[in-house]
Amino acid sequence: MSTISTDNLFRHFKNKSTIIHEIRDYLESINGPADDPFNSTEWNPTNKYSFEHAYFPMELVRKDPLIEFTFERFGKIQPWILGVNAGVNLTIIWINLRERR
Amino acid sequence: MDQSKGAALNFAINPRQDSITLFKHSHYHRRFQTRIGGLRYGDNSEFSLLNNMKNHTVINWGSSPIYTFTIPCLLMKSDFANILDELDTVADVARDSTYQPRQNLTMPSTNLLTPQHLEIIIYNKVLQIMVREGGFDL
Repeated sequence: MSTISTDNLFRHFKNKSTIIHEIRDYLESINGPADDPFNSTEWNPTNKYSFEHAYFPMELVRKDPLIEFTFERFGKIQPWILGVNAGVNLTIIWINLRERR
Repeated sequence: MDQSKGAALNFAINPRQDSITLFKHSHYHRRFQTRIGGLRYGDNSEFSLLNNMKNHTVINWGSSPIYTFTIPCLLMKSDFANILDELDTVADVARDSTYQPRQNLTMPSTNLLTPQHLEIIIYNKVLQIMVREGGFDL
């Protein structure tokens, strides 16, 4: 069996975020207690998946040129922070589920 | 509709040793195997572009949560006006062909379109714009 190509699955860039320490500070400010970090009003579950999500603030978007470019160029979609708890196996599949009524 | 189901720019916010993201490439039914590609985020907030249209799994076997930045990347109407004519330059669909040349089956063609072609074109068009216009470096 030959080695598969991952080119159409994911690609790594050499570039790094220039504001990683500010992002970590923000994360610390929104987290709940150390033994239950997602237990705060800033974190919310999704309808489909077993991860939590929190808003990534726009003032941080404006501080990193590559994040700002991505936001402005590709539809101005709100960025998120995804949180996956310890001991979780999360599968993300592309199917259309019926909307919740 | 889920707007994240296209391409998404991601990076790990904290260093992670006890987790991985596994993309399913294809199934190999004869031996009950799934062929996978493992995405390990860098520990220093390196950006990665994900194809969220491909099924993938995040496994965190550690004792701490993991945190990932993500922003969905949507194409504008002007970006895909001529996208089908760009197929040859935007995406290498032949590398992901199911069949091997010696099997004498019709290989993917730029004159024939499937949903999988579209998915790969969209992902690679976003990648192309990031590199050409945004200053991202592969």
